[in-house]
Amino acid sequence: MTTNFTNNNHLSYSIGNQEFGYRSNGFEKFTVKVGSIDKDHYNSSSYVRELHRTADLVYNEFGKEMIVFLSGGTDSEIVVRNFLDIGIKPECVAIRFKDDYNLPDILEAVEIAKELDLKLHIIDFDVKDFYYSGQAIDFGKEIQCTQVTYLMVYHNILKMGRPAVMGGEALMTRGISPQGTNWYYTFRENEDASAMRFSLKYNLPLVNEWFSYTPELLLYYLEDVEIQKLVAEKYNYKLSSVSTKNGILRRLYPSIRPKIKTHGFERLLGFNYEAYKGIGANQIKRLEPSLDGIPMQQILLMLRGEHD
Amino acid sequence: MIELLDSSHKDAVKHLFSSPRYMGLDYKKDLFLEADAEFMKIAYDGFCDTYLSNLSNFKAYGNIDAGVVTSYIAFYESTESAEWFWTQIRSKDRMSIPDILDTVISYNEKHGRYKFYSMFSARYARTYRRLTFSKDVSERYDFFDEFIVPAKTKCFYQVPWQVLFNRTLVPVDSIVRCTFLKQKYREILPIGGGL
Repeated sequence: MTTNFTNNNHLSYSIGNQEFGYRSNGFEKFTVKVGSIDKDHYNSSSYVRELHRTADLVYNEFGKEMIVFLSGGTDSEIVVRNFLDIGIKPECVAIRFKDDYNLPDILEAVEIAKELDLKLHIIDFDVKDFYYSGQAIDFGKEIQCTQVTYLMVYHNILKMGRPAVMGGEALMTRGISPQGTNWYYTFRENEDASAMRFSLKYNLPLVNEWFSYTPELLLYYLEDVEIQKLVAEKYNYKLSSVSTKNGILRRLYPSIRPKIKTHGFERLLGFNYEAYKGIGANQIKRLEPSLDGIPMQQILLMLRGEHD
Repeated sequence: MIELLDSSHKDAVKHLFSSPRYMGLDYKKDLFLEADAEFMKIAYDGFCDTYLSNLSNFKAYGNIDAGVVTSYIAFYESTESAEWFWTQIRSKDRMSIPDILDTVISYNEKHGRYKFYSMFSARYARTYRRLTFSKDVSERYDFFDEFIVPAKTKCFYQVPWQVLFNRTLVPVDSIVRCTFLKQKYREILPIGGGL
C-alpha cells in the first residue's frame, strides 16, 4: 500500500477475501468496513475541525504536486475551502464536456476559483469520443469500472500524473426492496472502489472519500440531527437529494456559496446508460447481492467501536 | 410519413414539448417539482440528447406531416435480453400512433425482439391498447401486467427504474406491462448466439 485513501485506510473494501481487490467471478462477496473513532478525540473535536485535519493529513502526504478536482458542486467547494482554511492554496482542475453538458457547473467552478483566488485548469473533454473510440472500454476493463464519467476523471488524472483529490461525498442511499426499506452508507464496487483500484494500479495517490476520511468526520455527519431525522422519517429520497444534502452541509460549514440546481448532465443519461452497458459487456457481471455499503445502524456501531 | 428521427428533426419535434400535462396531470399544478425547474426544457433537451443523437440503443420513430413531427414513439433496445422498452410517447395527432407503433414493432421484430415493456398511468390500463395498437398488432400481441409502482415511490427493479422511469418518481400509480408476440406467430426464432 502506497497511499492512504482515507486516514490509515480505515475505510476499505474486499472482494472475496482480497482487500482492495478485483473480481474474478460473479459470486465473490463485496464487503465494506470502516474503522472506529478515538473517543477522546471525538469528544473534543468537531465536524469543521475534522475537515481541517483531513486537509492537513492529505496535504502532508500528497504535497505541492497535489491537484483538486473542482466540479462546481458543494462537495468540491468544501474541499478547496478546507485547504484554504489551513493556509494551503490548492491547484484546481475542472473537466468541461464538449457540447456544454456541464456548462452551469463549469461557470460555478470558475466563480469559486475567482472568489477564492485559486488557479483553475479547465480540461476540455469529449466524453462521447472517449467511449466510442474504445478507450473507455479498454480502460474500464483494466480497473473493473463501467462508469464512463469516473473513467474520464481517472484518465485525466493519469495524463497529469499527479496526486489528486476527487472529493466524493458521504453518500447515503435508501435501499428499497419488496421486503422493506433501509438506509445505508453507500460505497460502490463499480465507482468508489474503482478509484482505489485505479490508484493502486497506476501508483497515483488519490483521495475519493474526503467526507469519510477519518472515522470521526464520518460519525459527526451521520450523527447529525438532520441526518438522523431524515433517516427516521419515511420520506422518499431526501438524503440523496442534492438540495437537502447541501442544506445540511451549509449548516455544518456555513461559508459555502448558495447553489442553484443544475440540469445539464442529466441530458446525458441515455448516453451514460448505453456506455455503462457497453463498457460492462466485457467485464465480469456481479451476480451476488451484497450491499454496496454498510447499513446505517451497523456503520454507527462500527464507527463507535461497538460492533463485533 | 413515418421516419426514424435524428438530429435534423430537433426543431420539428419541439412543439410536442409545450403541453403542460405529464402522466395525465398538469405538471405546474400537481407535480412536486422545484420552483426553478424548467420542466419541458429539460424534457426536450433530454429527448434530443437521448433519441436524436445517434446512440445505438435509444431510438424514436415519428409521423412527419408538412415538415412537423406530429407524434413519436421512443424506445430502448435492450442489450441484456431479447426485449425492448417503450420509453416515451408524445402526440398531437392520436390517429398516427398505431402506425408508428407498427413501424417500431416491425423494426424490433427484424432485430429479434418479440416482446416489450411499457409503463403508463394505472388510469389508462384498460384503454392503453385500444388507443395505441393497430388491429394487426392487437391480434398478434398479448400482454400481462407485471407490477404496479405506487405514486411517488421508487421502482424496485433496476432496468425499468433506469429505462422506463428515467430514475424519476412518478406522481401517479403506474403499471409496468409486458407485451409479447403470441407463440403461434413466432414462426422463425431469432438467433440468440454466435461467435
